[in-house]
Amino acid sequence: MAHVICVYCDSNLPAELTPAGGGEVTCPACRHPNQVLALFPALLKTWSVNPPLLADDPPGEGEAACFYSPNRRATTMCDHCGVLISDVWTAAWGSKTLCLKCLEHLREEGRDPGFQSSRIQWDNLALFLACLPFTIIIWPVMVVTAPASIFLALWHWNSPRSMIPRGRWRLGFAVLLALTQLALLIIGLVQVLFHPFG
Amino acid sequence: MKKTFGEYRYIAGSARVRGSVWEGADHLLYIETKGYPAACLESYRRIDYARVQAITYGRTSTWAWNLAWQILVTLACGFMVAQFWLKKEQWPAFFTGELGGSAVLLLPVVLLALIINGFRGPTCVCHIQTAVQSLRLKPVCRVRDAKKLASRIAAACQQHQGGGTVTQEQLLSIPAFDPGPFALQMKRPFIRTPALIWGFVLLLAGGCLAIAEPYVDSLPFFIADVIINLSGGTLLVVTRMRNARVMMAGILGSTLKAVTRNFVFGLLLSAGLYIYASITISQEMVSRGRAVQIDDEVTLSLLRWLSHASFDEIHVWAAVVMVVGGINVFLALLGLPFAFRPTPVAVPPPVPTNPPAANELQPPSLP
Repeated sequence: MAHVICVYCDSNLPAELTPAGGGEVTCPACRHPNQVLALFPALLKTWSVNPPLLADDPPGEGEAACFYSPNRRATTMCDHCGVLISDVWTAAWGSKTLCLKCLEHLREEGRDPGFQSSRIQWDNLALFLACLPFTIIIWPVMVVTAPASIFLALWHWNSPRSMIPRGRWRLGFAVLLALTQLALLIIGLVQVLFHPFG
Repeated sequence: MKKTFGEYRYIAGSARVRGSVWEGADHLLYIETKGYPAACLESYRRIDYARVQAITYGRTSTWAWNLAWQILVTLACGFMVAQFWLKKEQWPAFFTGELGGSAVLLLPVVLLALIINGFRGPTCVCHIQTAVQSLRLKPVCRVRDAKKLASRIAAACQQHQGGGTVTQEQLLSIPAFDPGPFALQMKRPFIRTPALIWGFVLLLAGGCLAIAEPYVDSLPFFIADVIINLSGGTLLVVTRMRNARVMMAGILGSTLKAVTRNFVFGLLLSAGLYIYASITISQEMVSRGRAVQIDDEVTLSLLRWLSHASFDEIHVWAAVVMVVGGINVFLALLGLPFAFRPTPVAVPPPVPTNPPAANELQPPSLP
């Protein structure tokens, strides 16, 4: 069982003051009014109980044994690798049933989008580097940022971008901007050294 | 921005700095973005509907503050635009000239910002609570979005938690919390330091100097203005940063936030003025037939130009300097009474008495 937590100071709000149907409750610690939008039965559940111990369940005659614990009866199949597994090796991930090995593998490798915890936005980074010299104060940094932007954009052309699907226009635009800057830089350098334009 | 992808449906937020919240089949996806001005890293948090305990929000004063300054800027722009069209002779030239022209361009922008902010409604901080965390959903920053979030996922949460709702009787069955851990769990209150008082005093002095700056033609005055404003702003910004994890709500918290914004704006303004002065002096040197190079004479003439700058020379810049100074004075007067208010004395939590039983090891008696 838990208490609702104040959004301002993280202290517990008294249960007797918390409106079950939603409404305002003033935090006794910081005196700020919190609005409760919805409460769910999980609030009343006790989470600190130990999981039940599973009884021995050896496979019977003609029954499949667990791939990882051969002394246990297989009850389900891993949705990822397809091996037969017993209850002790089963993990539920949303609507999927996975074996613990696959769960660890997917979480460590981050191959499945459903398991990824973060992604670097290389397209935004390349575009930011390409746009940085346009700020008046630090325009000379284009000597470094333009090649870096081109390198990042081409190196990460096929890398996964945001989880929200989007095209490659940022990468393309970054390359275009950086190439323009490099061209201007070269023209300026040639003009300073050889004065071809007078 | 897409409204659906895969199994997810959009609820709130954007692909930019704040991140976004998406409704999944059996969980809520919170995409948290880091990096400014563009998001450079996306972190994904998935909250199972079966684990959600509560959705709460608390109103913030950001909406009111934003409305206040947007209305002020809109009125000021409207006034200057009126002056620009009427061309009243009794007003200084910069009101009817460049400043009025700038206001004509600025007015539609601030008016649009005011309308958008007004329609989006009050701001809030929204939290979603599970057994292990109370997670702040940064993209849900408006009351309207928070209510929309609750209405969208409430049915799914109840379905995944076996149906049923929480009644007041069930809430009353939750045992009262122990005051000891409760006291420890609280964020400690902000302790007022002399740095806060000195910061506001310097800010007040600096603001007054900045207001007087366009009318005073003196190099020491200009240097004193820069040093005092920098010291006051830095003291207050550092105080705010050092106390980022303590409870600093209310007018003091809002004032320090506004001081930080004004300080950053003041720094940008100084950089802009410096560039403007450099360009002006370079043009003067070129017109006199001198090569542009940085030496002591140029540095001194740059400082002199900045200290001599008046309304007739820098026009709009002078007005902006005066506005920044005025905001500093206003914020200092707002924050000073709170800086002097004594900090409440912290009461330590009661220590439970737990004497050892007869068969337990007794502590050795000290001589």
